[in-house]
Parts: sequence; C-alpha cells; structure tokens
Amino acid sequence: MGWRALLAWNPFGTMIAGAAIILGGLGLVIGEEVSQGMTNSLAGHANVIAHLWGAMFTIGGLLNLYGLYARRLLIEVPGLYLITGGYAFYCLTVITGLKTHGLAAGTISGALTIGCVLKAQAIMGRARAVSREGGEAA
Amino acid sequence: MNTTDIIVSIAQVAAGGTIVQAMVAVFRRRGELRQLERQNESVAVDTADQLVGMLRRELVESKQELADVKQDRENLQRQVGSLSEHVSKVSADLAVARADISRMRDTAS
Repeated sequence: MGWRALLAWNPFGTMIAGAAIILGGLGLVIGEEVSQGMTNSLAGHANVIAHLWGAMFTIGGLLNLYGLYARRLLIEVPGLYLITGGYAFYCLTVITGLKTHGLAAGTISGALTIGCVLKAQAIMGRARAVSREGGEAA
Repeated sequence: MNTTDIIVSIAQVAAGGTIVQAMVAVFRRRGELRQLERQNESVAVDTADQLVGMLRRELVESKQELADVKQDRENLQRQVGSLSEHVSKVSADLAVARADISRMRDTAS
C-alpha cells in the first residue's frame, strides 16, 4: 500500500499526529508562549513544563506518524499514548487557565484525547485477541 | 490547595500515566503487537495473492475467448471462400446455359 492509500485510510490519524508534531514543536521551541492557558494554570513552572510537554507531544506525533506509515504497531501504539497524554494535558491546563475562554480549545483537545485512547485500546484489544487465538492454536 | 492545583496535578498524572502506558505497550505487550503486525501483513499478502490469482484467471479466460473468436473467423473465411467458388461455378453454368438457349433459338428460327 502506498502512502496515498494509507492517507486515504487514516485521514484523521494522520492529521492528529501532524497537529501534535506542530503544536509540540512550537511548545518545545518557544515554551510557555505557545499557550496562555498553560502559562496561567502552571504559574511559576510554566516554561519548563511547556518545553517538556512539547518534547513529549512531538515525540509522540513522530512515533505515531512513522508507525502509521511504516505499518509498525509497536511504534504506533506508544506514539498514540504519548499524543493522548499531550492532548489530555493541554485540554486540562487550557480549561483551568482560561476558564470559559479555553472551552473551545479544551473541547477539541478533549475529544482528540478520547479518540486517541479509544484507538489505542482498540489496537491493544485486537492484539490481545490475536495472541489468545494464536496461543490456543499452538 | 485549590481547584486549579488539583486539576493541574490531574493533568500531570494523566500525562505521566500515558507515558507509563506507552512503556507498558513497548515492553510488556511487545509480543502481542508483533503478532498482530505479522497477521496484518499476512492478511495483506493473502489479499494480494487472491487478486493476482483472479487477474490471472481472467487473463487465461480472455485468451481462450480470443482463440475461439479467431477460430470462428477462420471458419467463416473458409465458408466465404467456398461460397464464392460456388457462385463463380454457378455463374459459369448460367453463361453456358444462356449460350445453349440462344443457340437453340437460332436453330429453331
């Protein structure tokens, strides 16, 4: 399967990983400037935490994207979990920091968090089912 | 400790938890994920094999059809040849018969 077919097959997965790479990269490079919500809610340590968050988010996005296109689940799943953490962290801090002004960003990132968790759980569930079948057959 | 602190610590725990989950996936579920990867690959290979087999069958069938059509055309050409031979023979007979008729008329008159 070429990359076009994979993109057609995983439009949302690709875009979520792409957004994680861009947002994480910005966080990694410019720190707390990337989100007012984070600056407000993490008063004091915002800059360090924003850099760490950016690193985690970028690594997750890159792993997920590579795993998705190289068809390597062992790389895709950890990337998916790291993206989940990144979106969850952003969702909670932006709503805490900006209150109602953070609701739009918080809702979107919260939905993406749930989506990533569901996808990771689905893959892990299938892997467990396959290993159970394989174990019985052996 | 106010609500903000609590939510921020929840966020940190969530982020940390997913890092742990990622490590669990890599270190403890490695075998299962590998197996699923292999199965996905074998499914893809099976599908490709089936597709190739189907195309090959179609190719063989259409070659057979082509051969049949060629055979039919040859038969028809042969028929056309024999029919035109027949027509020329008949028209030669006709000319002979006409000549005979005109000769008979001449002798009668």
